Amino acid sequence: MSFPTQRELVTALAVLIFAIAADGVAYVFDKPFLANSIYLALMYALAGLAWNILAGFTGLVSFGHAVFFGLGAYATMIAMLHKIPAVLGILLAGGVGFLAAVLLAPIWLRLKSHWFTLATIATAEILKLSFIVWPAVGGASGLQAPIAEPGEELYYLYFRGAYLYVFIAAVLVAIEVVVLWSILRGPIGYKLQAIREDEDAAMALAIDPLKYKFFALAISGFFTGLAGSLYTIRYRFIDPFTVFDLISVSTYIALVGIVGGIYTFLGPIIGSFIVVPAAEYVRSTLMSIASRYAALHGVVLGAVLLIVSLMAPEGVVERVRAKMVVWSKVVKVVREWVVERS
Amino acid sequence: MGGREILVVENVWKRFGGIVALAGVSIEVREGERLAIIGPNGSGKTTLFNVITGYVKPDRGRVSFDGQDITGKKPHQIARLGIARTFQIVKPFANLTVEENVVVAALSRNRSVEEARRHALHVLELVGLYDKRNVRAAMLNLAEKKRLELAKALALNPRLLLLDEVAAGLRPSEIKELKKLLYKINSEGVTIVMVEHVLRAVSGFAERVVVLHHGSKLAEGRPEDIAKDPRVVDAYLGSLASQLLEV
Repeated sequence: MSFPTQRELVTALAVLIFAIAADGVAYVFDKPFLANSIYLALMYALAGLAWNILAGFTGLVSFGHAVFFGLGAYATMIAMLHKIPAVLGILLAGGVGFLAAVLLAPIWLRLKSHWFTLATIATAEILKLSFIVWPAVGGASGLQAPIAEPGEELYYLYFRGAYLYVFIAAVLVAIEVVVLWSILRGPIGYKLQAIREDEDAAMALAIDPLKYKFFALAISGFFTGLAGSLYTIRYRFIDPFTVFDLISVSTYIALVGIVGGIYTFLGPIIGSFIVVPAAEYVRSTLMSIASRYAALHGVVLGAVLLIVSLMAPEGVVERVRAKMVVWSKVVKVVREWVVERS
Repeated sequence: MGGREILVVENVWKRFGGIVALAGVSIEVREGERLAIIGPNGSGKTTLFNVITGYVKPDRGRVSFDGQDITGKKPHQIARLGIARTFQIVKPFANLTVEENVVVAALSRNRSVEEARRHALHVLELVGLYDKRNVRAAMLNLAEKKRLELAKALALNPRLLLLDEVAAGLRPSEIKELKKLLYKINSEGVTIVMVEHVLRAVSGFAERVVVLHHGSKLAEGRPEDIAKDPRVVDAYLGSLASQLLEV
């Protein structure tokens, strides 16, 4: 069941269309909070899908994808500060994510299982600390995007609210879905999963694990870099604490994949649309009723992760699919029974 | 017989800590041959396979395949050259289906998944796993997992097939069937080297037997001669006696 199915592709694209429709509704009824939640869900879906080509399909679990996210966010910011159009800045973020992955590969790919995971965390933390003390990128106080003069809105992608940004994010996720879907169904998908299952056995079948892990890491870095750029164009201010954060970036990216189900293609998208809006809702509710305890929304998230780990370790998507199989069997039996009676 | 040498192992040494696993082993395999390597537990059979297929680097010595030095090459490079192997401890891709397992192997020779699938299904038919093609590999029993190992090795279209205890744990009827299949593969020109613990598993199949003991070659010859060789009997009895003495 680990190969992406036609139905998963259709579902993924349907979710994106639904997201855009919901964004339209939010615009008409002036619900900025809803639009922002959709935007964040898309941003984490973008990064989560990229994370999952490594974790779910290759067996390399990263808890340091903030590396690519943060570098992508900074790349777009610095591009805008140099008066480069934001659209190019987004592409640049992908390129920087890709490059970071290529440069880190010789270190990361030497390590396996939990050692790999530790190396990813360490790298993200090192980058965060380096950016904090690096004045050229704003140090600990971060960077602010240039104010767009009237007429420059498209140039710097400066819009009010999240409404228009949702379109940009949905397009990026759609591109990623199509690209990853076709890659993972092809020979590369088979070879990556063989490596995940048993590296020695994969080598006996003429597969060079390093080559394919390198490929998976590079493409993962590219799309996670793009996700970082989405943060920058929407929020216009970044600092190392935010974009390299272990919890709200690295762990969240992994979380949406784990909740949705890492052995499914669709997992991270579904996981993201469950976890992110829920977390945003809890956060804003806590903020309005007891702002002192707003940070407690992390507790709720932790609880969600625990419940999923205990009750549906295979993830929501696989759960629903299993339920659907059972239902279709029940329907079949009932139908046959009815036919027999008539 | 009398083909040219396809695999030459020259004076290979391998030491793991204080244990000498291979102590100067030399073996030649002729193209199209059916060779068996037998030996008591710990005689170095699997280590020898691991050296040939690149999983273990020898301390000394040389391995060449089809005239080309392959010592120190990576396992995937060696597999690409045309040496396929099975693992004594089976290594199925547990979460993939039987068909997907073999498709992975077939992809080494086919560019598209469709072509690879056609090839894989053909191989699955050959080893008798066609009906199980949509089953998750983890669900197979041991005999089926061994056949899956074989199917994956065959899907590489190898010139040399190294089988590490494919018969162990199988019932006599299954062994008979397996030998029939291996005969067929061999008759199509694939050289076969099989490692087994006991002579019985290879009798009636191997043309030539090499006996390993304590990491070096103890005897070599036709199966019927090997069975009568007092040194071989001693080696097995010795190990049997020590096993019996262990409480």
